Amino acid sequence: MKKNNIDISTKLGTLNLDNPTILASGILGLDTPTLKKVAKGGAGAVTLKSLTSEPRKGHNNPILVEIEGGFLNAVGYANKGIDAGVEEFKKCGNNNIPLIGSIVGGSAEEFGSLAEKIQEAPIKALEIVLSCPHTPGYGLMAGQGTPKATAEITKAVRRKTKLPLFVKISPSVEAVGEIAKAAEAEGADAINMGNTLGPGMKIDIERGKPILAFKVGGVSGPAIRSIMIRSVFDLYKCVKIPIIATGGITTGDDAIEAIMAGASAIGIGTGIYYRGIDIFKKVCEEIEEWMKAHGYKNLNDFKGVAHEE
Amino acid sequence: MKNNYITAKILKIEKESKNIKNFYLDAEVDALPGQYLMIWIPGLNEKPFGVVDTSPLTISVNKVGPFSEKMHELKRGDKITFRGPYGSSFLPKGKKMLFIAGGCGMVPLYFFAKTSLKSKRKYITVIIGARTKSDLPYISKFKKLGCKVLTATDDGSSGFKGFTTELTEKIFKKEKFDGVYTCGPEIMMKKIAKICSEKKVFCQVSLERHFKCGGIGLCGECAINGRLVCKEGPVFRGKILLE
Repeated sequence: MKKNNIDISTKLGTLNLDNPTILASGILGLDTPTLKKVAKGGAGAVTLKSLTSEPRKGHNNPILVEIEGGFLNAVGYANKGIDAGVEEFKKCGNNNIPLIGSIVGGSAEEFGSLAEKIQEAPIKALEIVLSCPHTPGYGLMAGQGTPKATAEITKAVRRKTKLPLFVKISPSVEAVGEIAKAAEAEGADAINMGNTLGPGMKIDIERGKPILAFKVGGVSGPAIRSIMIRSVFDLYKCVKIPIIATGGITTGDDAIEAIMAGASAIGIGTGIYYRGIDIFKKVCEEIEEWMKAHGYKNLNDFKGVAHEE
Repeated sequence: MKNNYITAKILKIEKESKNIKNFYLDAEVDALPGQYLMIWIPGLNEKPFGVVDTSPLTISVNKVGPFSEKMHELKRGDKITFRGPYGSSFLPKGKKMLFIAGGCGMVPLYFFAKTSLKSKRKYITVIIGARTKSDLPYISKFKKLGCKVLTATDDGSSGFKGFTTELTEKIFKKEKFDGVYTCGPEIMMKKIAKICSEKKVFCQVSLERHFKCGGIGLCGECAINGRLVCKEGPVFRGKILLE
């Protein structure tokens, strides 16, 4: 039991979290000291930046541009590769804050071998990302945003790990329900709904050119929140496994809205820009205050209430 | 939105040294000494550059790679697009200050000296280091401000023959300073930080890292011991290099 008898702990498969906030993959997750700092900021769990088989330079700058209500990004999976990544994250040791691994590959086989290797790092769960909108050879640009590809990749990874397995899907495809069902059928323990939206584009009118070096990028931030909420709402009717709501959550109110739509946990990324690295702590406090004012004791008291007739 | 891109025209280009050009732009920014801008060349890349002066906005470009080579090709009237300023700034400490710059590291330090009161600039000693005399930038600019300027070159073609760190140690034997500020190669700044730590003198260093999101603080590319150079830096207390 927590203060005021309010308990905001949650569960994703066999993974227990003290609170529902999770650092989303791709934000600040490159090295151990930074992840520890985010954990100190109050996150219930932290996700590594996705690792690929080989080191990747990613796209040239600019990789991020601000728009109304958020950002466009096209980082292009810049990372040190699985071998160096595993070495780096071994330094995390056995933290109190659960570490969630993240991998991306071009094929089910590649996902499978990455899943095997990443378990050398002290991760407590594994997320596979099938939904990047801006990197050739990965995610949506490799046709991974379909029920068939989702089933194949989930199956290949499931064979290699007993850890809780999360599948991160895209809010940009119509068949979110079918994709989530495919992941569930092949043994996923939770669905992360979801990645950035789009892609979108921003053109600088003085230079007459798209600002992002890759020209297009995924949309994040409050601008996409209503689409994420609707996607979570739809998924809650389709699958029995827990849903992690990711997309524009910045405040406790946003998190409560996502939980009412059916989420068991919430991802935060862009929100760090608006509220600092301790956004996790702030969001948790805001959820607790609201629960106290409304007489709720735990998250299940209002999870999915938006579905009640 | 704070991260808008601003496009300005080049008013004047000045050759500072063999590889450094100064660009004066028809723009003004509200920046503190030590802060930087992200400069975008459409279709090529985006890189951080320290602010030399705010009105007119002035930047110095050292030719070190494809991006700066492209900048050096620009002519008067051409466009430069930037966002910012970003980052932390230098904190003046006491009366007697020592600045130690290697290469293009004199940019934020010059801006720092320029923002000091005219009557106080004579208490600023500047050590500028380079390989050889023709690589030494900003000497006349610092002298014009009224600062005391010392030089160190590898070949002894100007001033002290040797490293800036050796000259610093030599000066420390004769003089005391209230604050020491350094910008340049990290190995040099680390040495300076160590000297200051031993002598218990206030020291700030301006770090350089590869920036991706540059000032937004979301990508994590520039982290050092859990701190983001693009956002919490680039100016830190010297001890960051001794951890």
